[in-house]
Amino acid sequence: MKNLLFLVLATLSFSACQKEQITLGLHANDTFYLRQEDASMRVLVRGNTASKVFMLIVHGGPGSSGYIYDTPKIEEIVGKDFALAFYDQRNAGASQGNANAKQFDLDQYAEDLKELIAVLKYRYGQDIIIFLWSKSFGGMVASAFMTKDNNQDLVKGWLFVDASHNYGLNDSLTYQMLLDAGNQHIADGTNPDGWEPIVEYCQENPPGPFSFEQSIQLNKYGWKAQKIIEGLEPYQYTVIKDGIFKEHIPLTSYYLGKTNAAERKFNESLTPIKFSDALGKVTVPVLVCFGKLDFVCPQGLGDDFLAHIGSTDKQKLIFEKSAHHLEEQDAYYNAFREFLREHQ
Amino acid sequence: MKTLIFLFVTWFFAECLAAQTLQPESGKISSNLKIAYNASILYPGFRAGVEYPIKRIDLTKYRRWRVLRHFSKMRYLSAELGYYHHTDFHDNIYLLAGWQMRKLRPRGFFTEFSPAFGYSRTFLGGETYLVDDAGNISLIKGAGYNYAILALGGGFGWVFRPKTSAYFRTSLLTMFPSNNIVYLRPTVELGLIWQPRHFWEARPKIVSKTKGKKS
Repeated sequence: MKNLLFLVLATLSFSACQKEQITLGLHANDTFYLRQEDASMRVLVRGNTASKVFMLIVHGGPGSSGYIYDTPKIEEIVGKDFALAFYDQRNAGASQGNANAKQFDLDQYAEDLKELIAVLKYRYGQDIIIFLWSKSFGGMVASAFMTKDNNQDLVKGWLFVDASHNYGLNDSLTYQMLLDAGNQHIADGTNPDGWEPIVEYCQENPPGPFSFEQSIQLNKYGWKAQKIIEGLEPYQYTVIKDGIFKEHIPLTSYYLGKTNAAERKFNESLTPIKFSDALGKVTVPVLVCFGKLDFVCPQGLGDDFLAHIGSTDKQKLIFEKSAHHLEEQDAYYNAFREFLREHQ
Repeated sequence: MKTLIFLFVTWFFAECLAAQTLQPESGKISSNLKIAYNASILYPGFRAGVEYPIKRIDLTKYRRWRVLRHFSKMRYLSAELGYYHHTDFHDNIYLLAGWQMRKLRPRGFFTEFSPAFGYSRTFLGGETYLVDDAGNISLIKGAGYNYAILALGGGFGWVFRPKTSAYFRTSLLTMFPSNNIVYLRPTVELGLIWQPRHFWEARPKIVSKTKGKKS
């Protein structure tokens, strides 16, 4: 019995010891964690790390996950030439920790990002080039990071994709887009039953500083509008389902991260935040990509972003048949790859 | 890990075969040993423990003139060690103390419910880095978290030899305090329960109950 116990404990001790797995090659598949302020954040590095050029994915949410951006297409198109670092922000995806609600703070997210870049350089070489790729709420995190101190010196460029940098403006643009599209569809007789509640809500809640509850409702209607609007390429959202086994996705952690009550409180704290005026200090090359049918982060955010950013090397791409899910995946990923090629 | 499971199973069966003798009716009952393949749905692990008998309730249910059923309800205090490995996420080792309620039918089929409480230690599924205030980066050895753990399990089994049973159980592990308030983890178990002779014997309280009227 003693021998058996010894065997069990010895096996557990060995499994608990971690060897550094650092791949510099064409098909990296490394997982590591960054511990910072009561959270351990998972990072998955895929693709061509030998290129020494990394696209660091800052996901949306709050509470989404890097898992949902790791599609076969992005690995095929971007990952073939460059490395992709999928990063689960604190309390999202496969990130872990004890209670840490006190650390729900946008500055902390920006600090996490800075430390992650330091760890990427520590692992893969100080000479690696990093491009920041931010989506949706990730735009807020990336804006907090890029506008702080000299953080922008740590990256070579910034891809701002269906992202937000100004909470209030985001709400106003979503509101206007819902109202315009709703009225037009009702007038055309296209799915009026679907659009009428949306238009009614907009008419009952005139624009102005929206409350957090109104903001949440506008966001919900934004998602609904993307389901019922005409002309949108349907997006098959199967990345989590397909990845359960293959990617070892911890489903309960993923879903609990999305529904964390503290996350909602954090989301509420974001409502007054706007980075428009602070963007002037950012001078790295930027690529702005928006789906024309994106009601969640409308393309007007991209216009405001471009109007305020200090960069002279800036370009904007609009994807006509896309909403908030990068529906035209080939076109999006090819655009990212070209931007990296041009600026690496 | 596979070798370890193989070793466990071999040892367990060898012990079972060597100990198939009926226990004398002295009022003393040996404790049970149990071992199981404990998968966190997809991810392998094990669970092993001991069940110390506290109470036995012999229940006879009558309906009109004929005896309908005999049941035996066993109550145990249990202690268990569990482990699972979730690739790239974490390894989790946990100790549980619980209350095991088992209802045994005459033909050997049983059902059980087992609430338990304990301690869990996870080990993250990848090397873990810490960046200090000065920007120095270090690897954390054995990085992971301590949690309190509550496990609720229910299952069924079958006594296929006088002292040996097989069982299946599903459990929900609730770990806290977690970064998402609680962390939930469903598990499934397939295992064996064995009552070795004269192993940690107890004199459980034996209660006989009759329900219904014998006409």
